[in-house]
Amino acid sequence: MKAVTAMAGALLALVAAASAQPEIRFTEVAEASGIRFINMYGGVRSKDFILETTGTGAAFFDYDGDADLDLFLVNGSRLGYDASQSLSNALFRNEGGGRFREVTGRAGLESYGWGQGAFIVDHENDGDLDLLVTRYGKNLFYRNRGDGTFEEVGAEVGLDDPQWGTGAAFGDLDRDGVSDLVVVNYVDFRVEDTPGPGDEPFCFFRGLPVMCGPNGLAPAPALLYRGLPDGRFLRVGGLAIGAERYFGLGVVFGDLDDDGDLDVYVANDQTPNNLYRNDTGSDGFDFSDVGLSAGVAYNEDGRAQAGMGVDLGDYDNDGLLDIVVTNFSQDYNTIYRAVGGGWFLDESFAAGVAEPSYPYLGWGTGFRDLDRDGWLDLVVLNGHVYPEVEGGITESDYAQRGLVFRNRTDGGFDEVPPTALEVPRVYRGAAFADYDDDGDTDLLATVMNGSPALFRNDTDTAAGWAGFRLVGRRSPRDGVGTRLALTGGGLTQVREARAAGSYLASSDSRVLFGLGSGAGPFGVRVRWLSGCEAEVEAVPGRYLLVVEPPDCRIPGGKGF
Amino acid sequence: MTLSSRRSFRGDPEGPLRDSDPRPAVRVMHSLGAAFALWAALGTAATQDAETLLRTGQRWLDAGNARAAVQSFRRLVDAVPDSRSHYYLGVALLQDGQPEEAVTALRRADTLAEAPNPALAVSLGTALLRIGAAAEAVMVLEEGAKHFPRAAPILIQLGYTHYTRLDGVSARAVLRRARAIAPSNPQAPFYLGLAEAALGALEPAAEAFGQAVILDPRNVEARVALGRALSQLGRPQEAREAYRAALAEAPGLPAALVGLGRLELEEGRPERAVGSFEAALAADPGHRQALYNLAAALSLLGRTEEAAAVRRRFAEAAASGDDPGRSLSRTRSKVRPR
Repeated sequence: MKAVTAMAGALLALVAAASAQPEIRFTEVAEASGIRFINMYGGVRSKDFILETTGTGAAFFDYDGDADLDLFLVNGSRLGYDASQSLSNALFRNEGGGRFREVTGRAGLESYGWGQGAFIVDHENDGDLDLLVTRYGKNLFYRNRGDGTFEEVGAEVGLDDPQWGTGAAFGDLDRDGVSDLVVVNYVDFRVEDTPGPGDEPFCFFRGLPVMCGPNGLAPAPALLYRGLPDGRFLRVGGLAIGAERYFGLGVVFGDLDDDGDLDVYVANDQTPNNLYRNDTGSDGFDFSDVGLSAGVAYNEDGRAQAGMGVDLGDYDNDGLLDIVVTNFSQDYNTIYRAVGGGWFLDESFAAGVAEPSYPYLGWGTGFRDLDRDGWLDLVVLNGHVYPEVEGGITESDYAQRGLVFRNRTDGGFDEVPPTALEVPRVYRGAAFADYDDDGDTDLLATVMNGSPALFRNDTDTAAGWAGFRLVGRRSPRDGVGTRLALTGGGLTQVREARAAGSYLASSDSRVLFGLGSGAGPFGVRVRWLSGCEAEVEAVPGRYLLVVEPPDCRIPGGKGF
Repeated sequence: MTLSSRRSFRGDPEGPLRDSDPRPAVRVMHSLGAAFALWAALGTAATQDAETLLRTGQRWLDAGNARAAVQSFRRLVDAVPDSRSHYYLGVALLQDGQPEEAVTALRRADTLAEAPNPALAVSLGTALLRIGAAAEAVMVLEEGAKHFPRAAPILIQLGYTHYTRLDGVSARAVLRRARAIAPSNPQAPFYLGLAEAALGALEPAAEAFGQAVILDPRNVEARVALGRALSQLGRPQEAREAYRAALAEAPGLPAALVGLGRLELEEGRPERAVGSFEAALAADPGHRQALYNLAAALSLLGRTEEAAAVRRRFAEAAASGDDPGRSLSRTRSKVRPR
């Protein structure tokens, strides 16, 4: 009897524990939401060149200023195809009620070619969000006219670089109130100069002849642009960014040393990652690549991995931004935990994200609080680069499922059933947004040679939330780079407004906090890139518009 | 000179695996040495001259003088150009670090052989792997395994070859078979552990390494790999014991010291980690993982100038070393089988 009672007690405890944590649940709703889009990207059953493998991204942004998030999807092409045979990029307007309608032509965004990523900025600080599309070939920059249409002005503003642009990020690196830009390039690639599958020793995978590279091919430099008040961008050379060449894919900006300015982290494929510490002062840009010394260039073995996607987030709520980088299969995704002083440790295994990632080749990723408990969870999208592996000849299939990790709140994560993300697809980009404004983070996943998946977050939780829409004055108007620290419910959560990150994607730049079961009040300290600091109180259940005060306090020291 | 050119070796494929050296190449060398002896013993029709050449070559191999053995076997091949002579020459060439020529000799032996030969399959597979022809090595070994399905040496070499090709699933399947066939063989669980670790299957990896250690307590690489897997599984105390056991067997072993240092670092004791990493570097000044982690530990201690100096050493080591970067087995990087 005693044993039975003990068992029943244990069972009850288990049930109670389970009920304390809601199941993180997604529902795939792309088609039902009106997002009908076919991605074309290289060969379907085989890939002859590395160009055919990177895939495309997406961007959530409010292009028409109606306060809801619209969706831009990038398209690619096929070798030997011209525009008439290719499929265009596409813009979907958020109609409300979870519905989207395609408006590509009307918006002037029809475009063909080898598109890669989509990145958002309010470049002229006019309240209209502009759009950069990186490409193999000239990058495109679309100025938002403010009437629901765009004009392509890449050459006019100096952003029509013809290399193979992949990841990019906008942000005010020199804190002059105008957003600057970093574009990373992947490979110095020309079809005619590149060996075909099996032509060279680096063109095999498990004995299968496959496309060559990136090892064996020439890496390409990252590009740094200063944003000018007149709307142009000025390419800046002679600095650490771009001084060495890497196989760049992912880039993200964040204040990784908590000194009040944005640093630049780049995830490189098969080459060490970079952390460009921003020491820019009044004398102009000043960056140093401190990736090695900070412990974020290599994994714990001192070995370069194959970086693809990247995101920043304070997953352990210690006030310091940590880093996640997705990597190749039979390797692990890496979590670099900030330990203070600008140093990081590879704690991927201790955090519980390494072991589950081995069979998967990771791309888009993001730290997001999916269950609103005040702790950042983690999503990773996967998909192989070689269609040739399909059919069970390796431990990795071409189409792969996504991974969802719940934050245990003790410095580690548990992998949880990814619900709708369980369907294997050849995933690439991941853009995160609360597109239905219900206070949780949804996810748009791009799929190579397939239709995108829109994963609506349907996690059933009673936990509260509070959101912030930021408008800068002395800082860039889009608020990117602003740091918020919300205190309440026994926690202090630090977040930064950020759009670019993940893989080839731009996400919702509003800042969303999960409030857990805390009753409040929830005080929020806001630090703008200008240095201006302000305090506001969160309003549970809604997005609060926060405008940078014109005459706010600017503390003398750095740090938050 | 009437040495038969139509005889094939049919030795005991299990025999060589009693040797405990974990490295496949060394294991194969021992295997082939035993095969050689057996073959020589079987050479009843050999002339005295041929016998002399065989035994001379064998003695040189036993003495570790592969170069001299090659000379003897070349003369043997000139005198009696049959499968067996080419086989011995191939073995000696492989041991002498001439894998391309070894492949040529072993292919010739294969062509001249009347019947499938397990030792020849193992040695040719090994030589092919050495010259980077891993796909062909797999074919040769799979063919051998077809004829000798219970020949654990072939399966182990095949599993190892799959593993080096980053084909963890195939490696795992083959090595599990090898382990079932030869449960007392320490090589099978060791390589199985590597394959499991390469697949990120840490529990099975730890189990396999644990078995390898039980079967061969002197296998320090298995002990280090066990420590590594346990550390990654979040079992630091057991990991520490595994590393210490490796150090008891091989004092100053850099990989074990680095493992201990990593545990200290992860548990927030950078000052103690420094000691471990420095000890590892005393034994191997270019040890990349030791350099990398020593720099991290020094940084955490605020010893920034020392950290910078170590980082420079790391950068030099990184620039000079191979770093394929992609799809690497973490354990393999520590054990680095030859």
